Amino acid sequence: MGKRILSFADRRRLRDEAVVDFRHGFINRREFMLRATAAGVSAAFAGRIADAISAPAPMPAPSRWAKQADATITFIKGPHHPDDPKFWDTLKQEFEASHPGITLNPTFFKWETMDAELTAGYASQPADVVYLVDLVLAKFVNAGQVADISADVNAEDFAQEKAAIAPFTWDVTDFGGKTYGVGALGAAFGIFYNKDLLDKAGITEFPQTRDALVEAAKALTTDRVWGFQFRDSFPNYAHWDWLPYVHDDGGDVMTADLTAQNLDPKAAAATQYLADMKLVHKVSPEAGAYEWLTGNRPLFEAGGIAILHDEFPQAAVWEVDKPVSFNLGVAQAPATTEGGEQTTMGNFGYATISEKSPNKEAAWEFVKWWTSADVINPYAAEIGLQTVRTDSSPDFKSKLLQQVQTEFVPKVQGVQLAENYYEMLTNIWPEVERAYRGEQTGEEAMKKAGEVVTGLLGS
Amino acid sequence: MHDGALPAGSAPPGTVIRMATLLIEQSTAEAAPIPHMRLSRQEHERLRRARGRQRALTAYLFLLPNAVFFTAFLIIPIIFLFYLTFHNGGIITPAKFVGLDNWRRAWSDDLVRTTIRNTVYYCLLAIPSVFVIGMILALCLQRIPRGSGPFRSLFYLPTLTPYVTAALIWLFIVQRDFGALNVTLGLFGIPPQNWLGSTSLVMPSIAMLEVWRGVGFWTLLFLAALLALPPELYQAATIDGASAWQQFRHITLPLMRPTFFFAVVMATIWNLQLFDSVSILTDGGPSNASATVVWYIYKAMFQFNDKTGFAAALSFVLLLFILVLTLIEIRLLRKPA
Repeated sequence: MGKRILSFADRRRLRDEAVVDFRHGFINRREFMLRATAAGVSAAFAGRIADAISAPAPMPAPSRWAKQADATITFIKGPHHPDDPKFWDTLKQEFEASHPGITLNPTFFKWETMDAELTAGYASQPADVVYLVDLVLAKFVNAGQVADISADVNAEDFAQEKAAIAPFTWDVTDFGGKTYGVGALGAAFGIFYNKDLLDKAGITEFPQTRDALVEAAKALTTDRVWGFQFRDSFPNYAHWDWLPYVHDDGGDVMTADLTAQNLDPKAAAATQYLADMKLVHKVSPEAGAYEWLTGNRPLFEAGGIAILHDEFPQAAVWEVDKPVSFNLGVAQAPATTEGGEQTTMGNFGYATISEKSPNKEAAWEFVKWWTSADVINPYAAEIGLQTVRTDSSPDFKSKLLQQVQTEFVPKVQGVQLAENYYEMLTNIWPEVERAYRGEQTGEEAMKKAGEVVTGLLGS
Repeated sequence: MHDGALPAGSAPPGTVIRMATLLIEQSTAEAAPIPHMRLSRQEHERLRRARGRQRALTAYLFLLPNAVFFTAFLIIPIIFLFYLTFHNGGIITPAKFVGLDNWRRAWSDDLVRTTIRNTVYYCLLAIPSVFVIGMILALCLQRIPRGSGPFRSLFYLPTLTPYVTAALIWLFIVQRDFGALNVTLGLFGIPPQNWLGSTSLVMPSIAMLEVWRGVGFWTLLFLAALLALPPELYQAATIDGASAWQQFRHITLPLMRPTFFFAVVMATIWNLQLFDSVSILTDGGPSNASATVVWYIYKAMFQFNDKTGFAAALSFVLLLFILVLTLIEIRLLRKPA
């Protein structure tokens, strides 16, 4: 084909589309891009060769994702205070200063989605150190996700520390003779009372027996004040208020060896006692009437409840942060009879190392450091939680928290470490609620609850 | 190539390019005679197929990113979930084959029946209520010629509220002593109700929350459908002497059938998956009166020990339940207007 003579319109179109042509004065874009790319690649390649010949290759710049120290420890826990991330910024600096070569990466899960987040974490790449509360510890230990730290815990250099941590925590973290965690923090649950209202009713000492509590609550109840209130629904953790009464009667969800149910008949009287507070004595609101955070607490603060079951860390709020307008007291659930046993319900958390952690030695260094008295006590004082150390206690701003730490924490009888424990609590609670509503007696409720536990023990 | 036709056997793979080049050259060559071109049937067919393949390839390339996500986050998880239904564990413990045990338990577990009953009860309360209220509001808004914007925003606002916030607001609304609901009832001499603590009132309370949250969405949907209806039909009906009710009954409702069809199917699917408000407000209580299927799946999957297979089986039960209900609704509603 001979040389074409382009029309004006064609030239204009080609000029719009093209960059340069060596034949007609234009080449199309595709050709230009090909040539330009080829030239660019060649130039880059030539540059590399020139660099390689002229000078030694420079050290590659470290990636921002690369490990920044000899070991990076990720730690995950639920927030115990609105300012917890800030507290951990400081703790991170202190830890890294005292442990050169180990970087600490503190992270948080949400308490509401704890189970889902931890399950997802363990299913893939979990944090090196995980703060596990006693409710879920057994589940993850039995799933093989938590590392056995017996050797570290029983090492000579840890003997003194081990002795300074409450023995019950070592029982809790013992599974088949192996240790899976170190006790760190906890919350104890019990009674707050409005001293002014008690004084006004002529009650000078907090009742020490159940009968005395009934009489006191009756004396305190008016058309504006409930004498006694406790949590009664599952999302409000009502089981924490029910269990001390059950424990005081020698009952529990299971027997001590975790092989049989221990609710029927031992928990029947305690359940009936609390139900009677609502149904017979009418010193407590009907079941479900008040939600814990939006009902019980505001009412107590306003003087509408005289004796309230709640969680003791709230003392930091009511005594220090936002002091209530009346004199406040704390107490344990009363004994069944004069001189009977009085236990405190507690819910504790443990520092554990993940089985999948590639940095177990560094993780153990962190666990030792965090649970030591010099670190855990000031931290617990900041967030208002109890510790499990017997050699020292946090310097709480709240005197009531100090009282809880010294008087009640040693009497803690907490949750039972069984893998189905949470499911048991979930499934027995509807029966307790029915008793609270008067749809069945405490005895009937515990008979059914016992069957539920037996069923789950066999599953 | 004396007559412009390409011999079928000699067509190289780049026939299209050659043809295109030829056409460009012919169209751009000044004073060149336009040749008469004729392609054989086979060549036509080949070109048609090549073009078809090219179009299909382009379409697949555009679909690829979405298909990758769809496969990774839906198809594979569903297959894995089905695999889990025959196993215990499988998430944080090794999967152990248990045959049909999980399906048997899903069939015989009393709580499963309770959760299905509660979920259906909730749907029966919430869906008709939200539709009736949504339709009434849409009809009112339709009649506001100017300035309905703020009302639309106002009605839609609860839909934009995050679940947790909405649930917490609801806690205050239904609070026994100073909650807006009981205070309002008190004005009419009705004693305060135990909205979330009573087994008979808890589901209606949750349904009220969901109606409050959802009514804005359905109002706007119905309003959009109402505004799209042809006005001439109403004008004709008015001339014929039809009353407002007759117009609504015989024009509006039949014409909105496709919208209702979409609304019923979607509302059923969404409401059968009720979880957030139950989890936040009652955690299934009191006495399992507000326990729903998804609530139980969540508990079994994440909070109970080693029940992932059972949770997976329950998920499939829910999936089948939704599928059957949706098919029934499609059959009932897809009649020609």
